[in-house]
Amino acid sequence: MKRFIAIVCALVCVILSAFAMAACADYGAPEYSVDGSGLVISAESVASKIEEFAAIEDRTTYTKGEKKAATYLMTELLDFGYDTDDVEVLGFSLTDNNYQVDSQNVKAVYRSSVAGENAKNVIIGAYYDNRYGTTAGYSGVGSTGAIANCTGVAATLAIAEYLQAQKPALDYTVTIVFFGAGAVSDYGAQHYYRGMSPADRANTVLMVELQRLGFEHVYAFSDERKSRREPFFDGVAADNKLDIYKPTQKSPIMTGMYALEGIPFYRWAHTGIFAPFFNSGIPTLNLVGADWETLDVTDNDRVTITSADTYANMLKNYPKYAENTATAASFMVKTLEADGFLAAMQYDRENFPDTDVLNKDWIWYLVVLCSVLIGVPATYLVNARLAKKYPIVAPQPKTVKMAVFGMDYEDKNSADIFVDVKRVSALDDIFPGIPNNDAPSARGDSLDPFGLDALPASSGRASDPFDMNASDRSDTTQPQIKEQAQEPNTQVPKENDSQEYISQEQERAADAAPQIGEADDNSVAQDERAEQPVPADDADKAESPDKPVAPKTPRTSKPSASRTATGGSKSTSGTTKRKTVSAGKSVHGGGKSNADGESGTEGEEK
Amino acid sequence: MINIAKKKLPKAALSVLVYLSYCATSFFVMRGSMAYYGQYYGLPKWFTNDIWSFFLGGLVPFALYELISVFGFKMIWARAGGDLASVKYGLGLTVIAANVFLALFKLIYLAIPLYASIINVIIDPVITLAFVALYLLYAFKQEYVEKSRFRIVLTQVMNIFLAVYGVLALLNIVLAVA
Repeated sequence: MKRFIAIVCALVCVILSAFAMAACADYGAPEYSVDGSGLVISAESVASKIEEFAAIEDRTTYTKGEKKAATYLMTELLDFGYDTDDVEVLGFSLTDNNYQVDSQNVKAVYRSSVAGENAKNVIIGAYYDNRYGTTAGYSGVGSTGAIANCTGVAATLAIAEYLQAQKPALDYTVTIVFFGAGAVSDYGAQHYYRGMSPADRANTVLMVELQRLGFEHVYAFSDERKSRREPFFDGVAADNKLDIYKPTQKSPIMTGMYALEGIPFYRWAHTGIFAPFFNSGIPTLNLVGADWETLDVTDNDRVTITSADTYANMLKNYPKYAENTATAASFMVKTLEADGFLAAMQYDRENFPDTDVLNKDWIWYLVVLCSVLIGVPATYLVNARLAKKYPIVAPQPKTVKMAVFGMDYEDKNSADIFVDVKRVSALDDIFPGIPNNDAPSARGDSLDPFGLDALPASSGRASDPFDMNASDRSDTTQPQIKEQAQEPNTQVPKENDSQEYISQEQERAADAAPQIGEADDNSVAQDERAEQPVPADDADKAESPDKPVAPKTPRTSKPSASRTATGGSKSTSGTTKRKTVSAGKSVHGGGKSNADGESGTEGEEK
Repeated sequence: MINIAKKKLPKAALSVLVYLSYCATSFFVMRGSMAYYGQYYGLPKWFTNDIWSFFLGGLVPFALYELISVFGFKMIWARAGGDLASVKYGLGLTVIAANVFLALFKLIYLAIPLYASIINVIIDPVITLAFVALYLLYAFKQEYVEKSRFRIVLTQVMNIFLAVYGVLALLNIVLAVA
């Protein structure tokens, strides 16, 4: 009981410590106080942008609604003051679900006066389409995409507007991109990346995506691997007291699948159109709205790409939508203006970790398979060694032999079982309290079960093959036995001639019983000789040590009982028979007759 | 040498402990699976939490272990005889110990999640097989089964574990390559 309690306590401690460690893991919330002082882009300006863009309800991918939204965005950018040369709509065609479809990205470039010709580039983008109607095999869900992704578009527009309005002296260019076909996949981002020249790709030091900012918190995800940009971003958020969360250790890891190259598991933060840039080695930042503080994300996903994602619902259910969107936009602007930004991004661009091998699960499973393939022969080697050292020894078959009356058993190591039988009388208290079955009073059998006594002498029964009558009559010890039969602890048959008579019949019945076990030729011969009747006048010869002494009549042993040790009793010729099992004593050859008639003390078969 | 099977816990108690140990070792993985299915297929809010993750995680490996051990040991007993009840009992304790070790080891996911997949794939079979091999050595010394027949137990038990992990590895290789 104590041990059981100890084991249970140990297990409970382990489980509790696991939960404690999980619970004590980093929370996503910022560890500094948030006061909103860093909001350089106001929530009101962002809110108006969201409202305007959400008014274009149908922005279904690959449709005119999407084109209309693209036109709106281009107009906005031009209104902000971007040159017409710096604003362009990049159309592309693709096959999606076996449909030949068209979409477009909208791009604007902010180039400060200090940025040189080959200046580094930062891309800031958001997808602008939605799943309002059915398109290219994608069923429409009536989603106007207020949260996903009017909020992201509004934040990007706010950044673009801020850059043109404030004209920060950045020594790199900022490319504002609104990606098409983002609500169904990341096709817009893929086409944009493919459209970049190798020099452009090499010059791009950071790609930022803004998405779904209307939800409870704004998370900033950079990389699962160690990087310089992550602590840089943390520092910017802390310096400006912005309410930026980080994906925590508590957010679940989904092993066996991955969305980003080099990251061998999937987390919620890994989803986004930034993936093509990340996979090509460009450092990325995913600013995403969510609530990842619990395991349940169904609230988020019960809104995104559903008919619940409307402007009215967003106002009702997510009152912080504008504040969060403004926070994300302000954070981005502050990051661009922060000292050391370019150096940190450039370092990560040049030292982008190559951990693609971690995604190759098949390598690890191959290692396991090889270990198994090594383990199997190792097991068989040990098996062979054990077989050699501890071979299985087959037990010798035991032979049940009829013991010769009066013979000593010489070979004490013999595994044979010797049955030295006698006619059991009621005087033999083999099992105390249990009547001997051979005693007719116990059995209640007829004294002549085969009706042989009723046959005339000429029926063939006249001969007494075993000459029992003659030998029995000559037995002078019979009266003694009959007297002993008076003892109370056995069922004593009545003292009458039927005692001999019974024994003869029983003996005949016993003769007819099959012999037990196998025996070699010698022992068979001996047994046969043992079964031969011994005339009375040969009784003395029978007791000669040089010749096998045959019992007057052979008898089958009592089942199981005969194999147990019994006390010895005198065996005399022709009258009493011993029914014992003896092992370890040989019947071969001659031997001293055991004066006590003991034929064995160990009856248990080994 | 202490005989761990001398005083046996009730069978049901041992099974519960084996199940809890599998829950502990599968917790992180099940947590991730639940998060994934919750995100993409939608799960009830009352269901999507760590408690359900914990208790669901141990169901499949526990069922697999019980199924294989019941039939496996019947086959072994038919050939080897001996005190296989003690061997089976001790193996249950060994599995518990291995799982507890693995559960503690997997707390490392919190620190280095990047290597979670590798740990899952490689460490699970290696640690379990190591514990089982050590236990079989112990059982041999305890002579639960005749020494001459112990190799039957050894090959059968090790082959069962190796076969399960081998088949799983092969299946995952095929899926990963395909």
